[in-house]
Amino acid sequence: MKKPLIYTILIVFVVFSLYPFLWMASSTLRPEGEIGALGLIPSKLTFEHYKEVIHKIPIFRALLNSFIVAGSVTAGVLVFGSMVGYALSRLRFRGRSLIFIIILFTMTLPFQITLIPLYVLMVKFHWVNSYLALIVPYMLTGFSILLFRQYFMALPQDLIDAARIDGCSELWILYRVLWPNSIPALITVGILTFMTSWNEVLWPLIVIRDRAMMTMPQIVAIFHIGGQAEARLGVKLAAAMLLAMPVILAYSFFQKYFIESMATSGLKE
Amino acid sequence: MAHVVLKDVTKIYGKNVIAVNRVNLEVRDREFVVLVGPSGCGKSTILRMIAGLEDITEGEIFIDDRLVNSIQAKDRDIAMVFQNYALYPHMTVFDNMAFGLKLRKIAKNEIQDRVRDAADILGITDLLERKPKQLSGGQRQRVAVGRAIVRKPKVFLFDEPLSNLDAKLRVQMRKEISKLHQKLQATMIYVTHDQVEAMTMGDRIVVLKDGCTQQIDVPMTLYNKPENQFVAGFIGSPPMNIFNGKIVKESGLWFDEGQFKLKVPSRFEKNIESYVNKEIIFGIRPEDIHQSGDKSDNEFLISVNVNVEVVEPMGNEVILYSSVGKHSAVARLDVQCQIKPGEDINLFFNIKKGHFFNAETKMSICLEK
Ligand SMILES: Nc1ncnc2c1ncn2[C@@H]1O[C@H](COP(=O)(O)OP(=O)(O)OP(=O)(O)O)[C@@H](O)[C@H]1O
Ligand SMILES: [Mg+2]
Repeated sequence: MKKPLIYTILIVFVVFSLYPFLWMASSTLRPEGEIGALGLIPSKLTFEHYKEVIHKIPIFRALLNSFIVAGSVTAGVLVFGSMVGYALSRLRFRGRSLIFIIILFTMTLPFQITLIPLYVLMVKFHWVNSYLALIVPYMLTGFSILLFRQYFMALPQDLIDAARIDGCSELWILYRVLWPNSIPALITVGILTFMTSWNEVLWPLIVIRDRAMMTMPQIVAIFHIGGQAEARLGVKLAAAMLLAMPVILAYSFFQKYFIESMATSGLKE
Repeated sequence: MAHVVLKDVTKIYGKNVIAVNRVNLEVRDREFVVLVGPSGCGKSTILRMIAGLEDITEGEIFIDDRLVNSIQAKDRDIAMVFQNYALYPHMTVFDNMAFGLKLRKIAKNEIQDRVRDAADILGITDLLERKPKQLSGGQRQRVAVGRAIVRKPKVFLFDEPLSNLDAKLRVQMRKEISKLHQKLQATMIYVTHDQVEAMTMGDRIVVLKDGCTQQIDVPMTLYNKPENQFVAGFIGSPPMNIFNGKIVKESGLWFDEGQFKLKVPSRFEKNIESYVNKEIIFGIRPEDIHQSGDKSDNEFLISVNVNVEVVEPMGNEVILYSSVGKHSAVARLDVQCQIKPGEDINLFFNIKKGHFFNAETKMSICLEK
């Protein structure tokens, strides 16, 4: 194909995918009455919508909550997921394949099935309205176990044997020898876990009532549909913009790894 | 300083893969023992059981009279050098060598000293700050050896450490490891599938096949008095010539290949007597086949007519491949010989240096002095 043609097609796609976002960004800065327009340049800049959002909901507290939750969940998944992945890939014990099959099976269960039992559990533990309810159930995922297991299986056994002879315990082997040689796997699992956790709405809606404990997607969702926005587009878009900002910033920061992780997570055996 | 004893050691993988079958071995203090055998004979498995990397299915292993069956690898006071070096890719050469010492909580300056000493011995002082990726194969091998040395273990274990190096480097590292052994005065167990390495390096050699020991002895005894046909064929290059035939009795005993006959020397007669009219295997090394019949002990030189197939001049000698009857015969001849492929010539077998093996058990028949 000719180059100009390719570029034309690409540009059309870029415009199609970028326009809605840019429109949202510009709309948050317009007076409410102008928002219907299709143009991207506001005739008059206003920060009223943002002021109102910040005034009406504890959005920064929610941002902090989201960071605490997504950060802890990610740390937990990296630590525990790699532990289980290591055990399943390198240690020999009775029932190893059965355990692996069960873990694979849990991945096929939709969240809606475990939702109610999990909620009951949270109530019994008195964890409702606390970080624990948001973090603990997510600290280990079948996906991370699977990915770590596959990655560790591809590392040479000699490396582990050498560490064992050098005097490493199993945990030391994992954290001091395997981790430094599994950076791509750590980044892949880290990014995907963080994103999933960051975007989670359903579970926080169920276990968190206290506004001070809410995560960003949760509080923005409630703001949108809960009547507080008084059906005005400007504030809704501003709230959505605030929700998207951290992800956009993080993305531009980790862009390289992000693309790598997307490319490898699917391909790895 | 340590000795290692294996008593009836057996390894079974899964339900029925017998990788190592009742191996008995005593490695003495400061000895350099080589385990040699074809691929899959269980060499690595034995080494890994000694190291503590593999469970022992049956039998016992002692290091310095201490039963180590249930002792972890890190507490056995051994060091191992792997075929693929197994250096930690994320650490510098220095850290690779120091890692085991740090884990054992050895003082910082002591670690420094030990690593520098080892680097000195191995000539890798300039490489200490590099990562393994930035090293050549030979340099990596040295680092792997260095990592073992700094630990000052009771026993060194090597699993085919030279097989990834090119031929020239291999010869050089072979010498260096031998020198190291003399210098450190340590017990070493060395695995290889290369019989030349085994012959040149080992104080004693253990020949293995299908998980069973075939013979354990000093190199020259293995060469001169192989206990069975497998050892005879495995040790020595080119390998020993093997002929299937029969013993016939007509004014003395003769080995009858069908195409040619060899007179059995009188010293063999007593043992061979019972094989009259039975199948037997005769073996003779390439260097015991000569081009001319007038040597000092020519009463044992028996002329055999062969058809020359390939002549390989090696510079210092000529390797001649020929066919005789339904067998082939390899001979090491003098460089002066003017033989051409396709010729029919007479070669002289020095039957005194021959070996006879039982056709069924493959065991050597005439092993008395
Ligand atoms: N983890 C395992 N599971 C099942 N069988 C195994 C395992 N490891 C080794 N074996 C088998 O045990 C036998 C001995 O293996 P081992 O690695 O000791 O051979 P080796 O003599 O070191 O061979 P090589 O010269 O190729 O390294 C082989 O038949 C091999 O297939
Ligand atoms: Mg091996």
